[in-house]
Amino acid sequence: MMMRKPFIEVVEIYKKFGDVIALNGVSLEIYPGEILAVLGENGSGKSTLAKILYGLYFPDKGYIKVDDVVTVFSSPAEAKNRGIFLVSQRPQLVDDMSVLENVALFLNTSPSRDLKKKLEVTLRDLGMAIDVDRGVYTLSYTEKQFIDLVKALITQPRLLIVDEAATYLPRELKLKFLDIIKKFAARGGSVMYITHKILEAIEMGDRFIVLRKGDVVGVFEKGVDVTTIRRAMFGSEEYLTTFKRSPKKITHESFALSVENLIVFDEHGKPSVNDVSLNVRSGELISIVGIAGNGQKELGEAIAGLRKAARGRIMLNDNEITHAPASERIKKGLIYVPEDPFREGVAMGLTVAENVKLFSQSKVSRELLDALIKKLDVNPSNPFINVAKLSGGNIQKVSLARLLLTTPKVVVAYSPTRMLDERSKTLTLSILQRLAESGSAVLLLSEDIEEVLHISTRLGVMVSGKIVRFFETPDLESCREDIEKVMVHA
Amino acid sequence: MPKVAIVKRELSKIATALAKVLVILLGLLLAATLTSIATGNTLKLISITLFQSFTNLNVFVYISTLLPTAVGLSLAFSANAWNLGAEGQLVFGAIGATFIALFTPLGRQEIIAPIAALIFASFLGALWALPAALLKMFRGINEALTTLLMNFIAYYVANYLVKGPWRGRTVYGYPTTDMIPIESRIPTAPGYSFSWYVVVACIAIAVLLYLFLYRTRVGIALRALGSSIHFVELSGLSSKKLFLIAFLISGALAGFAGGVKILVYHKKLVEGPIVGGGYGFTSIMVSWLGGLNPLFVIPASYYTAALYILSFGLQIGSAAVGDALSSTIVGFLLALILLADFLTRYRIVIRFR
Amino acid sequence: MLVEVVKIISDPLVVALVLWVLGDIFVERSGVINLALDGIITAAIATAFVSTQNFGYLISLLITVTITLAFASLFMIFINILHAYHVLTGLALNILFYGLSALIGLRFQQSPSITTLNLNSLTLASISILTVALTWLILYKTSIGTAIRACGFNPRAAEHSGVKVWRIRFLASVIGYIAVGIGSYIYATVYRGGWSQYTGRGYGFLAITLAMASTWHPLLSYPITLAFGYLYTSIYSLQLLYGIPPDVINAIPYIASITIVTIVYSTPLHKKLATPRALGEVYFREERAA
Repeated sequence: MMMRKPFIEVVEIYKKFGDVIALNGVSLEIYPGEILAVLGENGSGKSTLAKILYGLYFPDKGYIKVDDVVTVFSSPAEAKNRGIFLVSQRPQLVDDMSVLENVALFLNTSPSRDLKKKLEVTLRDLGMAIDVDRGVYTLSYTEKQFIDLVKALITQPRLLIVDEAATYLPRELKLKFLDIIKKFAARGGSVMYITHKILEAIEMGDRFIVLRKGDVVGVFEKGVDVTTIRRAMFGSEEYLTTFKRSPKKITHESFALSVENLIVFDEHGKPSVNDVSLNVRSGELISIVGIAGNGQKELGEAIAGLRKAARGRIMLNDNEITHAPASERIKKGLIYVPEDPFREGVAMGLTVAENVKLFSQSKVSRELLDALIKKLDVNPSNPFINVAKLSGGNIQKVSLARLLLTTPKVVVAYSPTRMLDERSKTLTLSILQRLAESGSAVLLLSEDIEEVLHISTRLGVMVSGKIVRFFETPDLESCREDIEKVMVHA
Repeated sequence: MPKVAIVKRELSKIATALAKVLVILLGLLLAATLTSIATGNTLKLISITLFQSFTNLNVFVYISTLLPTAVGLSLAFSANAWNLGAEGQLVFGAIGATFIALFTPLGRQEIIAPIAALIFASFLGALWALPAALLKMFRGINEALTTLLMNFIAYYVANYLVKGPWRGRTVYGYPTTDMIPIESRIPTAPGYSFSWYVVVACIAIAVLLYLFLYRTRVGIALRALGSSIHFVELSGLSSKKLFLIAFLISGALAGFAGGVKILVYHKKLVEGPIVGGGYGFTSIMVSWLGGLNPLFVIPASYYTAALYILSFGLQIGSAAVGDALSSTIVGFLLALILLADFLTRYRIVIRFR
Repeated sequence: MLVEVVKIISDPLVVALVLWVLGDIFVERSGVINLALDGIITAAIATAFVSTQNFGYLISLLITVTITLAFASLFMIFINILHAYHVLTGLALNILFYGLSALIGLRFQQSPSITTLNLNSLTLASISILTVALTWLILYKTSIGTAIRACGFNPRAAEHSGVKVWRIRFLASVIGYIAVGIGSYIYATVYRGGWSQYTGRGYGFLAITLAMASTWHPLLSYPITLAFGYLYTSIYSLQLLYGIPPDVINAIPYIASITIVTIVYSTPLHKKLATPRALGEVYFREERAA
């Protein structure tokens, strides 16, 4: 295989955002028929690389060589013309349009009857029964993810970049997804498979490249072991990711947070949370996990007050807060940690200090500010620079400061570690755990079974807006397979 | 084929300010040259006019209107409240001040009269901003468009008043009210039609609002609203209340400016478009020129005020042409501000491979 | 009743308004708040007037559309390349275009009026109905239309699908402003037949409001514009009949616009219709997102 010419060569790509160097001269090549696994922690620059190869970001330095032509892409349209397509973790479809219209948009044709037939046939061949006239907003996350992949495959691309697109899917669906990709490579297509999960990479990859803080720190051939890759990803540092679940010593009998028969509609009037009831006592840490788009996010936002509850009740320490505005709930001691730090976690236009000031009802002294920054390991530590200058992970840490200013009665967090590297992930989860130990009721909503498996005392699985089953055992790890099964089949 | 892309850049605050000043100066030079070509006057004459415009004390006439309005708007825009209705709110402020001065007994009380008139002017300005804010909050209707339309309605309300029920008994058919009583007027600087009291008050308002926006929690939250509504809610502050506050303060300050125009300048209510004079629209750009920071809005309003004087200096020959020319130049300079904004925040990368 | 309807459908002012509204729908469907419309209409009317006076009707139409497109391109440069706030750009350029309109008119006009162009009712009605149909076809049945709407819904996802957002927005404005140019031409030559400084100012904002009230749907915009046109053309008879002061009459269109929008947005109807969610959003491709 190595005798052949690579389909694409990436040469010395450099990209900086503000003061953060995202890619520091990265070079690699991908051959036809090869799956190149790109590994790295969150914030290592792997998504930036994917976006540069797809023309979404413009590199500061460096170039790309496709078919011996030296170029850089200044738009996805150009990359697409070269046969390159990116499937990312969040499906990039226009929700307000139908499946057919989305595919037409991608193929640059009108949404005609011929196209409709062609698409229906393709979907049937892949064993998917989706009405192509349906609005995309009615689809589930997995359906959207598959549509995104299918529409790319219709064009017979030459390089498929898969950026954590299957990472959070449960085993069974993941296998189906990965199978399509493997077949694509077997037919001679190139694949760049981006993930932060070593085992997944080893399963998929023919060759491996490890990124750390924007640098290529390791290139490995097939047969490499986990330890070698781990050492490259994390350097000399080793992080303990195992958590000791504190034995249940719940002192309070009453519930700090209780949700009764909650129904929530999404933007398009579809019930995204459908008759959910759950209770969290003070000192408890409960997780709800499910495939993305099954209502965890909406449940969290409804409890936080960012989304209207259509029916049902939400109680905070026996006070009804179902219709109280978000600000009111925060004041009453319910803290919500959102997933997206850029748009919800912080105000990008303000300084770190100003952001922290807003989290606190009382005055924040300089000492307190410095202590928080130290505790959260925010880098750079100057509180008077704009948050926009920080990296994504550090911005998320600033957002977490809201947890450390008071002892909240209830904490609700939705995928709080999605943006974080291992070290910050551990830090965040231990903050949540410590809060539970000191008497807060913690509800952790997630799409990532890894995130929740080791720290929860109780775990619920959410499918299509309903919590279909609770697991409660000291050793949730042993139920992993069962949990994943429930996630896929309601 | 060369590849072109636009990427962000992070300039320091000083570099940003310098770049803006530079673009503006260049713009002035360009405008002067164009004017000299269009009017056939020498560049030297135009330059003298330009210099005189910036050193003329009459700038304070315009600053008294532009500064409070623009400071209020910078508050609103910081909070992502697109109040484009300052013109109408200003007209309503003028109506309010006239009402107190002419039709209430307060109008003849020294000192109390102008204060009461200004308070009521601010109140009416805020009131005129209220419907758009409520429609946005409860119906999700784009506030930029509603406030824009409200301006025209305000014009016609003022026109109706001065031609109808409020028409003066001593004005011989002109569409104005009677002059307001001496007691309710604010004393002007000798020989000029502005008041030092008002100028000082306007600067004080700018400083106070700066402190509010940058030093208080509510103020910081208002600025955060420009980045994210959810963030503000999740910090325990009501985004709706903040939005309303921003809207009402900007309306009140536009109303205040309208009141000032009556008490200092017109001394009677005149037709809507004359009271408003487009200052409400210009203030929008002034606040932007000042980077939405009340302190920087002070020099921005000075610069714009000088432009007004310049445009009158240019009205040589026909008034119609002069008006058209000055509108063109003002529009051109405003567009330059947007260009300067681009240059300080983005850069264009061209690569040949 | 039927006579009334025919009269409204073929009223040159209403036809111009329909074209302006449709032109605005193209631009705003691509996600751009189109406040510069008012200035461009004002300048286009002045252009149509003076070029008719100087070169005759046919060449005037060409010139008007060309100049309109030139102004629209300037607007689009600010939006797409300079990434300026849509609302601010609109306001700043309006001031510029008002000034230019007066300069154009004052410099080139020969006399204050021209003989109006005589188009029969059928022609006028067909122009507006055809444009409505064409707008609908382009927006909903072609690949360009799909791309335009995608940019208005979610420019990020559109870009990801291989749409060059800036180019589509440019294209949308070109198509839209052709309609705007023709509308302004009809206003100047068929309806008004005269020009004074700033003739036509305010109609742009009216068109923007009507487009919003029809949730930017071309088929819905037609009846709404007609209803408005009826109101607008009949209020002057109200004045004569009941002696309502002219300033009150003049304010009615604006009050009516706000009322119509409020009514439409208070009914569940507007939620059913997919409106351009990204309207007014400054789209920067490299924006950071989770």
